[in-house]
Amino acid sequence: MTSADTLLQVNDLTVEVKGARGVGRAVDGVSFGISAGETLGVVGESGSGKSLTCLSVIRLNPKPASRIASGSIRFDGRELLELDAEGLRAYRGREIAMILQDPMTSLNPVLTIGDQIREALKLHRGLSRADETRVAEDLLARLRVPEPHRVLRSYPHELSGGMRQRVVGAIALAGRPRLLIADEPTTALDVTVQAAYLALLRKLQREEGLAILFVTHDLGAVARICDRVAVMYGGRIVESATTATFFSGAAHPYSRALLRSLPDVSKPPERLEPIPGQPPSVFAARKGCLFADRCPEVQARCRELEPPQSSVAEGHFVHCWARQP
Amino acid sequence: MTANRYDPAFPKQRGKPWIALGIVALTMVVAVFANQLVLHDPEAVDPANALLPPVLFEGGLLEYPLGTDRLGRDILSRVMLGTRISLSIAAMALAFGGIVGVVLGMIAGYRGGWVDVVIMRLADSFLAFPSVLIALVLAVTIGARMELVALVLGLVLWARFARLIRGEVLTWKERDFVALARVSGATGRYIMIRHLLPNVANSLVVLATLQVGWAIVVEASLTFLGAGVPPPTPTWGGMVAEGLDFIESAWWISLMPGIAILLVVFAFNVLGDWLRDKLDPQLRSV
Repeated sequence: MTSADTLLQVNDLTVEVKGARGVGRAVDGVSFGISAGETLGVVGESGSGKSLTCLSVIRLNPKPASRIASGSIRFDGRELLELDAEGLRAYRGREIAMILQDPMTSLNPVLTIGDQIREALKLHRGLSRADETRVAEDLLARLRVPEPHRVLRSYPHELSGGMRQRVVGAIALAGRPRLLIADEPTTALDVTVQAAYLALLRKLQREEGLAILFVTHDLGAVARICDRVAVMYGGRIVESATTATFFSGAAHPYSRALLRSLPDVSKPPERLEPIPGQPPSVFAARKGCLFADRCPEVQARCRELEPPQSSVAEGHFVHCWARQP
Repeated sequence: MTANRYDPAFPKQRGKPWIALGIVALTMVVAVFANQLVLHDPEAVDPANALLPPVLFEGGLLEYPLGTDRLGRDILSRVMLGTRISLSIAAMALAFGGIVGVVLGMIAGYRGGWVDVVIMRLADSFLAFPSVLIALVLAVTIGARMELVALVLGLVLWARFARLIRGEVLTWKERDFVALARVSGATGRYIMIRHLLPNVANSLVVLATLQVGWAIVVEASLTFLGAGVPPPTPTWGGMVAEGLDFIESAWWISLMPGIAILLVVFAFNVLGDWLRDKLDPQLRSV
């Protein structure tokens, strides 16, 4: 998977979490790569480890509850897991930025929008005060925030959720990052605002050549913005494919089940198919395929051995015994 | 969107505490300008006019509105100067306890882990600290001094501040903006000062206001017991103690400073309660 223009390459990343029932693996040997200008969507249900995976990329995984046990995270050829706190700060914001799910808590309620954007600018660019204000207004304008001058002087509670999320985007882009980690950035937004926000991200990505790691459980958002999709289940990536391939020919039974649980507005309403059973606990025994208990195509060996990766087509990988050639 | 405009749909829940504000303001003015406002030298002895009752009682003189003590010193002037002493001690104690408490509380809450455990167990032990006993020991060994009283109060106060601030920081640091500040490369110290401190400022103001009353009462108690500010400096607690021997014949000597303590402590507590309601983020307009 490694190629010359790969910006972020994560290999065999394992993150352990501590709980009352012992140590569990929330992220289990995850590997993926993202090139400049590319958007990788990581999808999965709650608890599949998708958020923890991307928090770990920037080493923001909650401590001491979780620990990166093994693996490698290379950004532009440099191993991030070897960096100390000081070395890591050089990457945070400047090279890698982040947008989180809830725009309500992503902004500091007692500081103005201007203060918060200028803060990001000060940390990364070292501009004069007048330049900071000008650049901050430019950033807001690029994120299609009306009346940037007025918004700079507003407090977060004076803005709508969609506006706040755009401000969060402006702050993220203030350091001119090369990789943007977006952890369910549209979940808290209205559907119409979601579409506009995704279109905006797409536009900014084209302009800046930004790589985006897009975490979501919303397949609609995936279809809009992602170039490639990685499906996570129980802390493992079970399938990865281009977006087009994923929607037309997903191979893994779990991916197919996910797609079947989506309503299709072009057809008359029918019963949606929920996936039977519950996702596995992080603390459960990790033997064989973790989806086996819920899988319609389960075989005897599924419960015994972890399915190896097999290639369905160029750039389309799946971990499933039922898809072994 | 502006919070200040009066909206008839949301009537004010409580009026402003004008009386408490008035008392606090008056106390401040008296504390600052005590020397200019007094009618008499608070330490001038006048045996001819000893033990005069307040002006409205038989034998009282307009010259001594609240009466005089056994040495003929003007009680009003002594209460006024006592205001300055009491408030200065409270201010010193709050400054010391507040700064130490906020710094340690922030570090404990933000860093967590063993740092948190060490700081908070230390705070617990200081809260269990018998302040009156320590003040008595210090008074006997080092001698009774104003600064020592403030220090003893501060030793208890910092733990109260640390506890409050730690609790607040624990909730604020989980907000996404703190995580995002870390992603953008901010250091822990920067996040504490720039992001967390402004968010805990409201609680800080409320706690400080409520602790002024506590500091005044404890200082008065310590002085009453002889472990506080030594005579002849007029302090409220000291004056109450001086009047004890005459409580049956010249009750005003103890009562007047006692009323001063009551009013000021009451006013600060009412003000603190009001500020707490007023600044409560739950009640603020969003």
